[in-house]
Amino acid sequence: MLNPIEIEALKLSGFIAIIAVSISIIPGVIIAWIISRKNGLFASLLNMIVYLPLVLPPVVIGYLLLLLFSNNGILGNFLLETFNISVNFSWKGAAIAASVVSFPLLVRSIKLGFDTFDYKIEEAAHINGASKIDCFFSIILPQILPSIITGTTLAFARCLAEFGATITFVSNIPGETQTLPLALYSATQIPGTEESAIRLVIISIILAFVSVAIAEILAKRTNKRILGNKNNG
Amino acid sequence: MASSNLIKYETILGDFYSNINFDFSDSNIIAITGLSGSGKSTIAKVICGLIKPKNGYIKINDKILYSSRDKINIPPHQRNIGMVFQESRLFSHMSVQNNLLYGQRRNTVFDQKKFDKIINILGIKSILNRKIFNLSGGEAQRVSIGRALLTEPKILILDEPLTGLDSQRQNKILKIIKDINKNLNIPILFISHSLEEIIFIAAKIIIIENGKVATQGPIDQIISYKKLSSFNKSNTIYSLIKGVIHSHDKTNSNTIINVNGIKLITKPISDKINSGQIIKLFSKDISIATKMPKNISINNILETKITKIKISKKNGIAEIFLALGKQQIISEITLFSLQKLKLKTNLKVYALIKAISLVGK
Repeated sequence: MLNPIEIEALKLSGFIAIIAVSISIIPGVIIAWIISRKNGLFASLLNMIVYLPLVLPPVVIGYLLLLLFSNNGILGNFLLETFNISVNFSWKGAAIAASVVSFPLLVRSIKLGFDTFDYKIEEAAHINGASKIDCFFSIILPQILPSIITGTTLAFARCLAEFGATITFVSNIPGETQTLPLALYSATQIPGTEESAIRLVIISIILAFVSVAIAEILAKRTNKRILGNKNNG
Repeated sequence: MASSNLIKYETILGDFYSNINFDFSDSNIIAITGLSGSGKSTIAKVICGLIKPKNGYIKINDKILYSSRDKINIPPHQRNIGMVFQESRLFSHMSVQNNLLYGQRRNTVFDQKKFDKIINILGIKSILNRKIFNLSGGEAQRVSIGRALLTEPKILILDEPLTGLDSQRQNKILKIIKDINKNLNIPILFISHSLEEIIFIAAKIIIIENGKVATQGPIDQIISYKKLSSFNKSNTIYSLIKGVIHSHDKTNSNTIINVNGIKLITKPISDKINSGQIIKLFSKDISIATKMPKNISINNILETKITKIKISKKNGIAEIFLALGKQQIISEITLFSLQKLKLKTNLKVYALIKAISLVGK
């Protein structure tokens, strides 16, 4: 049904999305906590920076990543010198682009969890002998798990959809950086591959639908397990 | 168990200044009361370490938890204070059992006997595996008390723990709190705005007004009209008095209660002889006669003496304070009756009590 290039693109998309989300979960939770709990200039600035990828043209992000991660860029140079890693024109770069673009969705969801968490419960845990860090892991994180799940799944779906930043940053190389949307783009550029384009479009729609549905179901279930029926949503 | 506890601090929260100073060394139940906004809940938060006072000294069970002079401020999780809030504040992602063990694991070595003893007192054995969101308000509050007790706290603080519960559940929890005090020998600070609850449960009372300790002492001495009225938001004046059941009169189907040697007749109740009772007497239900009335349906006619008369011209009424042993009851009559009967202080009169309600024991 699918030709090898399409299968390759599908696999690569999934792989890159998983890597991208995995590397952003922990920073996502920490940043969400900071912008939810802290006031002050640093937190406000952080808040703005985190949401930038949501409103900037993806091509701008791709170009900025290119500047940062090129072998002469600050981060690119650092990675090359310290770990001998180059992310240019590789799936690693594609994962970075996907994680940057999807980061605001992840943080927004988790921040909502922190915002609506009842901190009186944290006080109770504290008085019951739990230190601040203990409270965070034993009470707050499990309580906001539904938000983390929603954020993760949304971010995953956004990674699958990533196009502009990726093509600008790491180009469109089959088997390395050519994810589904990029394969679709190629298919629309070459005469005679219309069928392939249609197949990729259908796969994209199904993938998007399934991930959003999974996000909904998981969040509802966890919510029910943690908070009972009275607090869905 | 004569450990010494001292709470002495100053706080400024916004524009609210509070200066609290009290101590206790027994393991009785001590009630802290006052109007809302008087700063009574702040006391709990200061003891727990949730609020750092501007200066002062907190000592619980001979251990200094806070001292501004010596720069000591033990963080809440190391204070070993048992605290139960108005809302149960349970951890909804855990079962009842894990909620109970949450504080225990962080404070003590597990002791099955102690665990069983506490869940028996609280009557929560059958709900150990339940989810928190399936508990009723009363059950949740009992679990919350259990969670606090299992940390083997040096003191248990209950901050309005009965708010939002119906009166049946309130009574059940009040009895449990008394049991805890008796069986576990732990001092309890009971913060409440309800005098009925306090009289039922506490041995001592501390009254907070505008962030300061207004009065403190054994409950029998403190509960007087003056202090009562300041908490009585409605205009209905009433008196609360303590008595014990003297006897049950089965032939006439009533119960006799002894109040400082004076006997009051009430509807039959099932409690045991000699069990303590709190009686609420509405001032409008007490009439006054200068001579012993005859041929009257009222059963409770007491010979007493006027200790004080308070006139309110605005309302056209007079409050007549009557001695009942060491306790006091108040009768509310019109100014017209006051003049007609020529009532004055120290006059011997008869109080005609039309209705008696028992509010606790």
